[in-house]
Amino acid sequence: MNVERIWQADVQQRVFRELVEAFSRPGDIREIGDCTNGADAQRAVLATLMDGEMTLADPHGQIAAADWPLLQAKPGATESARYIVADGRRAPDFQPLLGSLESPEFGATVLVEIDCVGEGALTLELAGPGVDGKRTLCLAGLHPDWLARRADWVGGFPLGVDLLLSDARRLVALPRTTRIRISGEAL
Amino acid sequence: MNKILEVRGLSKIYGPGCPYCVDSTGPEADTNLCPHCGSVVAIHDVSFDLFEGEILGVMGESGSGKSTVVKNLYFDQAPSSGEAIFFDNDKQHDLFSLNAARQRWLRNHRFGMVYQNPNLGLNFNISAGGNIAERLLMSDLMDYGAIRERAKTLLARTEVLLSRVDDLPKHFSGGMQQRVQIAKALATQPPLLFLDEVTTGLDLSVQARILDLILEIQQELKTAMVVVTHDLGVIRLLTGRAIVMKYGRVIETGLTDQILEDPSTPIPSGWWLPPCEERSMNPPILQVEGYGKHFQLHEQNKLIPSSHNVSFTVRAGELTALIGPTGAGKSSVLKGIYRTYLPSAGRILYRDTMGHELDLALASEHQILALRRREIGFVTQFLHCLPRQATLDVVAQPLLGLGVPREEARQRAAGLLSAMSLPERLWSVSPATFSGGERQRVNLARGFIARPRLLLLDEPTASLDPATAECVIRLIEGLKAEGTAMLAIFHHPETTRRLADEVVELTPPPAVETLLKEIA
Amino acid sequence: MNAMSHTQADNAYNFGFLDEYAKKEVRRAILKAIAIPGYQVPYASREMPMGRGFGTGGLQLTLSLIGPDEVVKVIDQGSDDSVNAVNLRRFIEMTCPGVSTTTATTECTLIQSRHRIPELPLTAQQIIVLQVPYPDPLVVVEPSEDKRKIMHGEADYSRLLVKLYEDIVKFDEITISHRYPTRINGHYVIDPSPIPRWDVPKLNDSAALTLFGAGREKKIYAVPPHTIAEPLAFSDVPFRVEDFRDEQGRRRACARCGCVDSFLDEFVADSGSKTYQCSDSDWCDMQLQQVKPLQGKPA
Ligand SMILES: Nc1ncnc2c1ncn2[C@@H]1O[C@H](COP(=O)(O)OP(=O)(O)O)[C@@H](O)[C@H]1O
Ligand SMILES: [Mg+2]
Ligand SMILES: [Zn+2]
Ligand SMILES: [Zn+2]
Repeated sequence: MNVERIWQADVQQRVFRELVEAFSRPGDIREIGDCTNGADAQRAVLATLMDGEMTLADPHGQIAAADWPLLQAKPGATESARYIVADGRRAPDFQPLLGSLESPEFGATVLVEIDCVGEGALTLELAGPGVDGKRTLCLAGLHPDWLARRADWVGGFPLGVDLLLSDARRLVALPRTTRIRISGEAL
Repeated sequence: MNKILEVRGLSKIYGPGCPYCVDSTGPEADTNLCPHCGSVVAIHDVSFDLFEGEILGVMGESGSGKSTVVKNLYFDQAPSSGEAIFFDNDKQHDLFSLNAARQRWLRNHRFGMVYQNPNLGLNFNISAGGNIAERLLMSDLMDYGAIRERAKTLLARTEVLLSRVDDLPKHFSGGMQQRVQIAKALATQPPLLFLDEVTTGLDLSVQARILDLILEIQQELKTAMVVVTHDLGVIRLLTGRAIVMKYGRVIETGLTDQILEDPSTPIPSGWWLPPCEERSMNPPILQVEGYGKHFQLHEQNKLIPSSHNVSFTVRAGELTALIGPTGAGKSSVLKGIYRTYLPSAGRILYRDTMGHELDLALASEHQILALRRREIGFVTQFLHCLPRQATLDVVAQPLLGLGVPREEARQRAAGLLSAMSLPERLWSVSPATFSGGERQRVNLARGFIARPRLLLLDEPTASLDPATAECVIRLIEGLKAEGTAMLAIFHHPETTRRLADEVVELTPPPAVETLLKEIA
Repeated sequence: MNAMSHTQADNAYNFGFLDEYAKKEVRRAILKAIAIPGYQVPYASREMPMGRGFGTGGLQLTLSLIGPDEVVKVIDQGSDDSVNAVNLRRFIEMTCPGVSTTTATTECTLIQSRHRIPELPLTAQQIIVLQVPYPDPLVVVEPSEDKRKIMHGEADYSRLLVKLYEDIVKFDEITISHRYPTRINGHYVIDPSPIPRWDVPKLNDSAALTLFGAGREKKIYAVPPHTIAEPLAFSDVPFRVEDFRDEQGRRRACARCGCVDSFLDEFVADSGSKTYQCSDSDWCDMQLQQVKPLQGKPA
């Protein structure tokens, strides 16, 4: 039996550690292409985090039909899913769960696929927990509406959403605590 | 003048409610209990306005829904329907449509509440200063020195001795507890303050000073206040306008003096008929002076003293506790008042419902029996009852003596027994076979049921398990809040601390020789 | 299909002992804990083959994080050699083939600890997992968990602060010695586990991620790197770490290595005389190594 690497426990452990680093250090770009054997980063993250306990929304049809049974996640609406996968090139046309004061962890984790993490015309200046002073992040292929919508979603800490942006091989996290200033504008 | 609060159509129904609730309750129906579904229409369609810096009275007899009005406005509970708008500077808050977090914020920062029961407004395990600090810390004042200064200023303003800033309020007198509550409520300088029967149960002189204080503060800080009271003296002194409630409805709104004095305004019932000067004080119900009891043992020609030179007072809505070592004669005092013992010395002045004063030591036997039937209850450690009488009837007995129909009496007995969590299967059998704890609950229920004005309690919780003791303590607190005067002996000092407004320490009587010398 | 586990033929356990479902549950909770600094994320704790007091909460975190190339250090009360620490280290070695263990703070990538944070500042390449017996600092003032959750959500810590106020009133200082309530990123107040006050400032703006695991209460929380961690205090009564000065006001030194800026344990000899020694055994060893060559040189 030849099982794709991302479904194997040792790869998932490594992807998870990259996620820990990514969420601990917002704006820090994590390269996972090597350990996943070139599998798409968003898929590798889903393989690492999903199981039958989780609800997953796929409003933009990112997930291949064959992957659903492997992920085991329950398909859910964007308004109620704990995890959402989205195409960042499109405007976010949904309202994710923000959690509650008592249980902010119910605020969704949104996996956003974009063209490029680390280079691009959109330049963000980040600050907040996990960032030593300030950090700059360049992105390509993120629809401009995302940042405005995110600002609404994370306006009432501890409620909010946690974003994980990815391209083919790289990850970068923008948890709800990260303060973002747009310092260079994409066209 | 600007409006600060606008209340419209406020209603609160306890229970399931039904389509007939509203029509079948109210002053005309002479009840607030819906006969169809058993719900209590605590308040219905209450509307009023309050202006900046104004004191509005909410008056009415006990149970008319006064407290329910302020509890809803202070977010202690949610109304069944209605609306209230709070005008805070240039902002407007639709109180009942705010989320819980906003409501808590308003409660902590913009409202203040002073409860009749200081236990609700104060944390008794934190010093007086700490109670005030807690409210200041909610507003992110983080300087210890500044917090302490402000707490002291507030306590000084409410006339609490500064030497007691660091003491626990549970050791304070009732009047002082109310002052601390007021200081705490004022800590964040709220523009709106609710006061619920703040002076009920306090000494006349203490009452007067606290009322003065409230007026001074109102003039100084221009705080708008809603003052709930059944006491006409308080209403007259504090408020300019008032609403009068009966069975949950507002039956009258207007200028306070007009409501009180214009004979053309309908007077709801007899509740304020006694002249207000008298109503506004809380004279002792019982005043014991130099009580003593000794036993003459004729066979041995011996004199055994059991209580000596005991003096104290008991007031409506207060509990006086007797403490002291075994042999100090605590039970003898209770028995002397109930006249199970004929007192050997002293006076036992009792003021009855009609306001007549009577020395129980000298009262005739049928006077004593009438008082026992209507006004004075005694719960001992032992239950005496007819053999083979069903528990329900044992408990209902005192009501029958007052002429309550049997069915109603048994219903009220059932209500009380279930409140004391005595299993229903025991109600139809005789208490003779019960465990100590079960029998004691029956005993207490029988003592409580007729709501005596004066209740004598001899170690009522001694044989109970902690959970049952706790529910008995709650019942006692409830009776106190309703105005029952109580004289009690408790097994546990903790219970005394919790319940007593006044503590009287008895010492064992001196030896016979000394006594004889005194008598001679 | 869920993750293919890499159970090995000569090893009866799944790598990391926990099954992959349990790890996923813990991992999702860890990520939310990092994203919401100081918030206690509930998770479904698994039964572990050891007593609860053993630090199963911390261990579950460690086992969900650990990979085959990990270098693990286990500390108990500052020491790497206590029975507890040795047992935990053996358990990890047994259930995680390939993982190496060390006592050297400089070498490890993952630290599981009880009661101490190493003296040597941790680096961005390291993660420390602290075992927590009681995760909620509000439990002393509010028995109902539902109400505590609301208080945390609103960052309403006034009742906790009143405790500190009362402490100063009674003792002129804040007397909490361990588990000092600490506010993370200006919102949540955490119980930082039974570390001494000495270690609390190490949480502030740390280069390393700090994770907390409470097995019995089934909670995980985190202080991310470079995050503000402020011990609760008043602006005019600041937080202070333990004072190791003697009667003459001199800083006591470690009797073994001579260090004058470490957290010291006190030992009372039978004679009644007291000696002091670094609580962090690895730190003490490091100091000795640095001092010895100097002493060894002939004058
Ligand atoms: N929690 C409750 N459950 C059921 N009935 C209640 C409750 N609280 C109050 N009531 C009833 O509502 C009515 C109004 O009570 P309340 O507002 O306390 O009156 P007041 O303050 O005027 O004495 C009374 O009949 C009382 O018994
Ligand atoms: Mg009332
Ligand atoms: Zn009804
Ligand atoms: Zn040392």
